[in-house]
Amino acid sequence: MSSNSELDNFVGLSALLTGFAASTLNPPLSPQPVAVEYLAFMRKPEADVDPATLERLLATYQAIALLPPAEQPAQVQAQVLTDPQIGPLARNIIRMWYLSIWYDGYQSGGVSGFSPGTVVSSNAYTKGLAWDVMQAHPMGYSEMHYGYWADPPEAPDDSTGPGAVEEGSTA
Amino acid sequence: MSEQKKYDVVIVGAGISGGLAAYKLAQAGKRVLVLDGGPGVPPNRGDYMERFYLAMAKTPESPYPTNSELPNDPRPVVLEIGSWQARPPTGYLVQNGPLPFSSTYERVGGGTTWHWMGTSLRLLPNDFRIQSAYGHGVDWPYGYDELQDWYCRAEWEIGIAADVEHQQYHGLKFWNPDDPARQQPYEYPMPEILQAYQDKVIARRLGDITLEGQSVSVSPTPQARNSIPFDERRVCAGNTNCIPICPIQAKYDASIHIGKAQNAGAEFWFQTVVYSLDVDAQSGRISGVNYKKYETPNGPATETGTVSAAIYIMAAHAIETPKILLNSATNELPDGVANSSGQVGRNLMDHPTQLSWALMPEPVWPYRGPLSTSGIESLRDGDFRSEHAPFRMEIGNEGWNWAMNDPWGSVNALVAGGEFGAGLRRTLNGLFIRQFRFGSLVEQMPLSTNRIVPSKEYTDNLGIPRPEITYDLDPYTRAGYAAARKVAAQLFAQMGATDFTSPNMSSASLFFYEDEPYILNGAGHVMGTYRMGTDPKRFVCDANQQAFDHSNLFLLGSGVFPSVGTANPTLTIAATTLKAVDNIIKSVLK
Repeated sequence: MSSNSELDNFVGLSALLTGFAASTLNPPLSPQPVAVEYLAFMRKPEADVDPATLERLLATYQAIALLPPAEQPAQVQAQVLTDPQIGPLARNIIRMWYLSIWYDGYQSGGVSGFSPGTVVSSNAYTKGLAWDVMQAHPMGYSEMHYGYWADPPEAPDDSTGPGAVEEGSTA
Repeated sequence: MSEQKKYDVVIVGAGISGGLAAYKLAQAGKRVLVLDGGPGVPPNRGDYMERFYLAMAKTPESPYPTNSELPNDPRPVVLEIGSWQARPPTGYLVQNGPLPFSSTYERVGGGTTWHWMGTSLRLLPNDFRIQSAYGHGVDWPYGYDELQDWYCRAEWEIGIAADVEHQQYHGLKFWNPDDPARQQPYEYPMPEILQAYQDKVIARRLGDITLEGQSVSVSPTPQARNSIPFDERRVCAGNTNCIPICPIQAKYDASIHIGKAQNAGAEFWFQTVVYSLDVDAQSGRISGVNYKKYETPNGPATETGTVSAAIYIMAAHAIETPKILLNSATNELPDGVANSSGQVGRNLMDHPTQLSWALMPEPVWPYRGPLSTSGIESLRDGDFRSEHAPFRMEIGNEGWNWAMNDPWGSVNALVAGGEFGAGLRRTLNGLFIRQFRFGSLVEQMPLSTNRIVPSKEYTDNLGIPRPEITYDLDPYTRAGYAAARKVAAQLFAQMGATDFTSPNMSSASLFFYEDEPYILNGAGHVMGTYRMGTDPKRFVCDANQQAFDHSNLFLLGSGVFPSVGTANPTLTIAATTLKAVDNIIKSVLK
């Protein structure tokens, strides 16, 4: 597997896991592609990722990617998230994309917002998907201008997103 | 003595009080030396920002040197509160309970203004006479009218954005300090900060509602952040990060006045930790300040010395200042410096903060703008103050960030619950964009048993005693806390919002009032401990903030507040500091 296709597999899998389009997760021409950082971080010893488990996760995705797009989420659920090895790894990848954090001890479950871990980098912090989901900006990293907060955000969400809150949806 | 130079004034502490005092005194031609235990103001805030970005918990302290990095000048941190009962203590403060004191402060150049919210409300006229008006608390030695001019000057010195017409409630009056006839209108230096979209949704949904005999309304908050360029600083870009750090210094912090004081000729010694004062036995005057200097943040003291001046000003905030005064005990003064009343270190207060959080039926778009742009000030005063403590309700612009550690809390909870992909994204979106919270800052009554003393058991890296704290909430304050919770629930119901407030029953900050559980939160407002008044037997300093016991010792900061009202204290700290320093310049050092 070439490193390019491994990155593509990681981004493709991440798109299914996060609900964000691959082109949003890894925009072409991005000067500091966070997907590359995330994949590299998972190979560091402190990430405590078994290379064979990561290999199997990406291979499982490769097979799922051959299915019609509409069938893919259910197969991620069935083949990835319920698996005792690659499931916890996939869930930590979701957390990493949303929060820019790699949580320790993810294999055993029980990770919460107060669990120990590592913010992958300051670049990653500013690219956490949680901030996009709330249609705001990373706390401490606004690229907007005075007074923007007096009105709702201009775009409800990006084209792949759910848009504004649905009637009757709850926490 | 290692210092031969003669100073008119030595100031201990380079926060907002010390910075303002140094600036005004140096401007008046006085030879000023400021000692501060922490590192100086960094050339840029890049290192602080990087530490913030990489911090797992974005606490108020997260951008600044940790206690492991800077053991020579440690300070309390939010993350130590949960284990306040541990022995030996795992944090800086030695806490005796029965409740944990839950506010923290910084010990770096610029002090705690690095991570203050910037809220700049004035105390109300009745806050200065709470005992006379309501039979609770302690009256100030002067009234609102005597501080009004100094509030104006502080607002211009710091740079406050507000419109007078929106601030005239509960008897607050504004007049131009340069017009003794009080006919000239007063204006804040900057137009008020635009209110967040959510503030307007809340105001619309509340409509006309009366609670506790008060008509309840949403007011724009006076804020120390730029709505237009001011003092060569840029306008607020809505980083939603005033606490723990404004990335662009659109929010005032005391590094501004440290710079101005330096330009005016004041000298600053950083990494110089003051641990006691000397008293001349003959005259009773302070004769020197004892300090330890260090070169490396975790290395040994490289110099121990004493520095002298005509006037001494303590501006080390309401825990470190009494710690130093009490740590100055000698055979001649066994109770410490400035402590013939026995009141130094007593009456430690905070604004215990009741958090209530809810989901609005429609989007309110939080996590945008300054951390707070509006508040409900309606219940800061009223006849109910005879029965329970008043409170102001800060409206947070950070969703459930404080209340539930979001976005980290909800993302983790949903992922652990099996959500992923588009469903996860949709659920999070629906949750985040409707979140809001009230933080009700309750006036805490002074209790002489709430106190800070230098620990006899535990010291810091330089061998200086650490603060040991005994702390509780009195029934009147608890009743105010309960009332704040009840009012928040009523307002949620009025707005059609879903109340999600639930106390964590395993919290180390749990307390009860009339059998109902509440969680104690600190506001970061450390107050009391060397209060001013007219009676030397009951107070530490007089209305000029001059110690009753030592004519050349002055005490600045929120430690002098006899009672604390419900205004966030920094503006009143600045106003009282300017007033006290003006007296020093005109009457003491003339």
